[in-house]
Amino acid sequence: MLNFLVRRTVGAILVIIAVTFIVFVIFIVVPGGDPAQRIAGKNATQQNIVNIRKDWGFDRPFYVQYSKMMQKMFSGELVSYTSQQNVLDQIKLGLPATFSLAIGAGIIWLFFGIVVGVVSAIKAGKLSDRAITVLALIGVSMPVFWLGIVTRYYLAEGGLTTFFPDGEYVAFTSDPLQWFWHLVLPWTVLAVLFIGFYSRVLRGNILDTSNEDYVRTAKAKGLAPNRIMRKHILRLSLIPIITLFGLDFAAVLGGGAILTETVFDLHGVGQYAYESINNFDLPPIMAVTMYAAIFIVVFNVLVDLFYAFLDPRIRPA
Amino acid sequence: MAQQATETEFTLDTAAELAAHEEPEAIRGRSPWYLAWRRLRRNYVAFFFLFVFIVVVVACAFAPVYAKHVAGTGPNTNHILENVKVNGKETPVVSSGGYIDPHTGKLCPTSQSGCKLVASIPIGPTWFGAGGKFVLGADQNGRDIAVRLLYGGRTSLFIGIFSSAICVFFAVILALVAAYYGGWADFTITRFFDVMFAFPVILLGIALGSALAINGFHHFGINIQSGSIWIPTLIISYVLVPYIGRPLRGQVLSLREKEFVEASISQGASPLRVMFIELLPNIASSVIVFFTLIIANNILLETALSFLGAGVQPPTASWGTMIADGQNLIVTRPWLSFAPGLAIIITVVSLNVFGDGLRDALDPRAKVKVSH
Amino acid sequence: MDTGTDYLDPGLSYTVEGWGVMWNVYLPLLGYKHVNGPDGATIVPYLAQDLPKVSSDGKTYTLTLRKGVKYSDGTAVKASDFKASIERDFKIDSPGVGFFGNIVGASEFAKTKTGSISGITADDSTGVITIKLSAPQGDFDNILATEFAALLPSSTPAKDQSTTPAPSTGPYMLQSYTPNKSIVEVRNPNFDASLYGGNVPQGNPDKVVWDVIGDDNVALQRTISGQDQWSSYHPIPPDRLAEVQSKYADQIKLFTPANTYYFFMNTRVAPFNNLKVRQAVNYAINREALVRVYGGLATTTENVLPPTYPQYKKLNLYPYNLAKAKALIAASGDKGMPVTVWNHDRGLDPRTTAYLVPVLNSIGLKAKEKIVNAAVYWTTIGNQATKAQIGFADWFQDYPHPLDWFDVLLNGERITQTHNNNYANFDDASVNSQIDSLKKEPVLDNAANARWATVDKEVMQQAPWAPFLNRQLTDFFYSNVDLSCYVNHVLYEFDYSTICVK
Repeated sequence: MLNFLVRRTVGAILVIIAVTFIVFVIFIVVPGGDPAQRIAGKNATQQNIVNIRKDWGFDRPFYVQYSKMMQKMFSGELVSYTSQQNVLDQIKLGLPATFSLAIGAGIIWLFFGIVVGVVSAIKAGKLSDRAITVLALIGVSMPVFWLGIVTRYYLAEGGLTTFFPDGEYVAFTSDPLQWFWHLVLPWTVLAVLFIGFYSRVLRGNILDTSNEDYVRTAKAKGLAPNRIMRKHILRLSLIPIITLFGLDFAAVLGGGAILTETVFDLHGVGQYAYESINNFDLPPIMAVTMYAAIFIVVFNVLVDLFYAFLDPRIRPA
Repeated sequence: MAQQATETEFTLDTAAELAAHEEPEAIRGRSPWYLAWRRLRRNYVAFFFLFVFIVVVVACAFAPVYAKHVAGTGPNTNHILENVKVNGKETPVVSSGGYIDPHTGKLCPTSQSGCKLVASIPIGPTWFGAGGKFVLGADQNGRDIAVRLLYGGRTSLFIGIFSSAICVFFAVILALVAAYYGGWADFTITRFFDVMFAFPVILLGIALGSALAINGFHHFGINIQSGSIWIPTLIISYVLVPYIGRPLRGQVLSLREKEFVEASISQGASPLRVMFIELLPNIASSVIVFFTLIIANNILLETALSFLGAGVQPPTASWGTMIADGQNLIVTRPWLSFAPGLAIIITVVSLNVFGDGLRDALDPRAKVKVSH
Repeated sequence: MDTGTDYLDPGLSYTVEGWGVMWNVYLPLLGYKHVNGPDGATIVPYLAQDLPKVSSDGKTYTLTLRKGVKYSDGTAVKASDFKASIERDFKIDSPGVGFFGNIVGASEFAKTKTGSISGITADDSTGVITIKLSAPQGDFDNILATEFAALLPSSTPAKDQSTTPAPSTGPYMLQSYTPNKSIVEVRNPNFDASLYGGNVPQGNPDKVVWDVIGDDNVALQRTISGQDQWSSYHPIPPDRLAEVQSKYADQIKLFTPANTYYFFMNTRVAPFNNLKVRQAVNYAINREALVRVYGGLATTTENVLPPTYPQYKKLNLYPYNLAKAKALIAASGDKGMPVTVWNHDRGLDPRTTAYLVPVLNSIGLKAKEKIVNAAVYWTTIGNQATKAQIGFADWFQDYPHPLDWFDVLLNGERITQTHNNNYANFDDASVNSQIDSLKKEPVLDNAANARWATVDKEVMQQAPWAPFLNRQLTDFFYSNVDLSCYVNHVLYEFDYSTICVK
């Protein structure tokens, strides 16, 4: 087990380094992306640009720049090209919104995804199953940003009502009620997508498992259907769901819900990532990429451990 | 002679005589493809949605016809200062703005009292009240939304279909190479997948899209200009390769252990032969299902990237850029954003339902990633 | 407040948002009157006792520091603080150092950043400051009034002080700044309005909190509900204007900041090296259409200078005439030439070139658009290697003086290889010499104004630009704000120091 963990940790670190290096190269290679000129502003002199290049280290070879940037990232001194804001402080500012969005939406989509999946599996083939399937597929087929815009219009800007608040994130510490209120729409919009997807996967898994030999044996032995469902089928069908959830949840925590955060103006880490890329602001891009990669890689390891725990056949040697 | 005998008794002789008159028939084996087709044929819902998808594709393909004969304008022509007759009434395509005197409708010289500050708003849907012009309304540049919707569909469908084809193509090759050769090839390819998986899909898509939009892609002998729709196509196919490649590799890995592969290798079959003649046909059903479902996913991904400005570049219309353009008129002209959104939903739902039916018919285990 | 605040360090900020906050916090030697309208462009002494005494050759400026001025931390303001603040600008690679390049010794100091700028001498005992310029510069007063020239204590570290604000001299001081979150200002306890003879107001609010909001709709909603009392730098979305107008008409104020939106045409590259083609473009665009693209909140223009300037004389050289444009293109011999039209991708600006491209195609050119990320757009078109033929540009003044327009954007002697601001590469000997001669005018009297108007006309006759509109913006207030105190300054826009509540 320890061997496994050590190997995975080393692998994870290598992956994260590779990820940051790739992002760095993408943006260093971009022509017209000379940050010295952008920092210098519109009225700068040539001397000014030369000075900036020297002071910021843009005249060093790219691997030197890369290692310096990584150093600054770990020492907490990394500043962005636009406005020299401290990158880590900005990420910390965005964490509450991103975490609130991820955890709330995650609970909703996991719960409803499982419920809807089980119901449609039990009623497989009947009209209610077909109806649920169509609804789930519609949920999966909606562009999440469009759904966000539409719900904002109808429920917050007056299309039908202005009942809900129109975007923005309110910190839990300042007003818990408003915090909840402002998150209802973003949670729902983000969850709709996953509920559709998870319910279909679970339905498929349950139906597949129901056809396995050992389930048939249990039925033949006279075990009650409910008991079969709970003790055998559900347990096994949920395993892939938990795996998927681990990875999707990690992605949202890591700022992957860029569209939802941007459309609702939540100013979380995802929105910060998008704005930095849009501004060709390399330091925050690096930091956010690393932040996202850490979450994904860590959760990958956790999911593997979870799998090994549940299924002895997969236990690492 | 034989007929007389059957009227009274049935003996082995009569059976032999009857058999001699029958035409010899080969035993019809049912291939899995044929069985799958039969299952699919009975799924009316899947076929209905396939039909819907084909209607969408055909409608978008006929965009120039609609533009010329119904709407009378192209997707990029501006009609800002023109008027149209809607149900007999002359209406400006884009109304004038500034301080307007509500009585005369003309501009006030200064903000004298009684003058209201109004913004220029484009015309809303005319629903054929203007003879086919501006059926779904106009955008802030006075362009016909319905025409742009159809042209935008061409873009989004093109990108969706071609990116899926390219993605699946490379994923299949990588999966086959990794699983067949094992060792270093497998190690490198799996590490490559791992690194790609560590990026949130949208983040990598935006990064590549923004970076390549400036000067295009001029490496490895390929030269693509920055406004070309091949840029988002290639980016999307690249980003999704691991999501197809890894499950396929898993399937090939389990196939590789089967006896028929071992038999083929021991018979001296070359690696290419084993990969493409023995292994590939057995994952073909997965590949087909993946391909169909990933078109749906890629259309969604392209619209997301275009919405964020990292996909299709203006002036090329795409359903994603239309939604972004319509955002700041959502309160007064919701159709600017609704129309492309509904188009996306209809297209993607049809693909998903048909792909679902296809999967039920072929019965492989296919899991596809979705962007959020 | 929108997310445009870059720094709250007067040595670094180069946005209207940063300046709008800081002009009541960090005072330079000279400044502007806190009034509405063109009179707001009048320069008055702030930390200096009087306007500078300029030598007859225009190259020496002498000022005396007011007596008794203190920083917010209680220390006295010294004359040598001015010299230290300018030198600090160079040390921190300020984007404003270009303004001070004319001071003797500045370029040497820029290279080494050691020693001091020889052209500035300050005597702390008498409070006299002397500035020597290499050549006379008519807008030097305006440059002394920029925030880059604001006085900070000599001990202020040579790095960005936005989050650890330096002591202030104005009616307000920065209590805290959380980037992208909020700015909090409180009264400066050591500010004495009586010293300034009315040039700097005491300030009505005791405390000002700016909430940084990204989305225009969110800002509007907060102002309607009273969470914020005014939505600064967030124009009302054109979409909501009708609704806001019907319910809150009295709370809206429309204003015209000094700006011009134009299409530049690169005179070094075909087909725009041909005068006929450039004039054809000017005839071909219907400026009213472009006004509607901006929601109707703009006025058409054919001038370089904005209409709020005293030097503005309305030009009507190119009334809309599509037929004439086509004829000019046909006569130019450049018919059918491929043209790439450049623009960036933010806001409403991309729509202007979506309009322009079909227009160019209709007069006989073969145009297509190229959209570039806004972060790199300006450096891309400012690079000669790009050979950008025609594209979108806009200019918002740095200070209210025609030199900020003609010298920066249209002076042939200031064309550079990269980082160019003269996107049209306009190089007309007559205009260049007029600009150089007007640079020496220390005061903008009627004669100088008339000469500037002539320059405007001469430039437009050569048509390196196709200017099309001056943008208007809105201020929106909560119902408890008394708009009789409303002051919108020609440079700094809405003045929060004068705001009063009912």
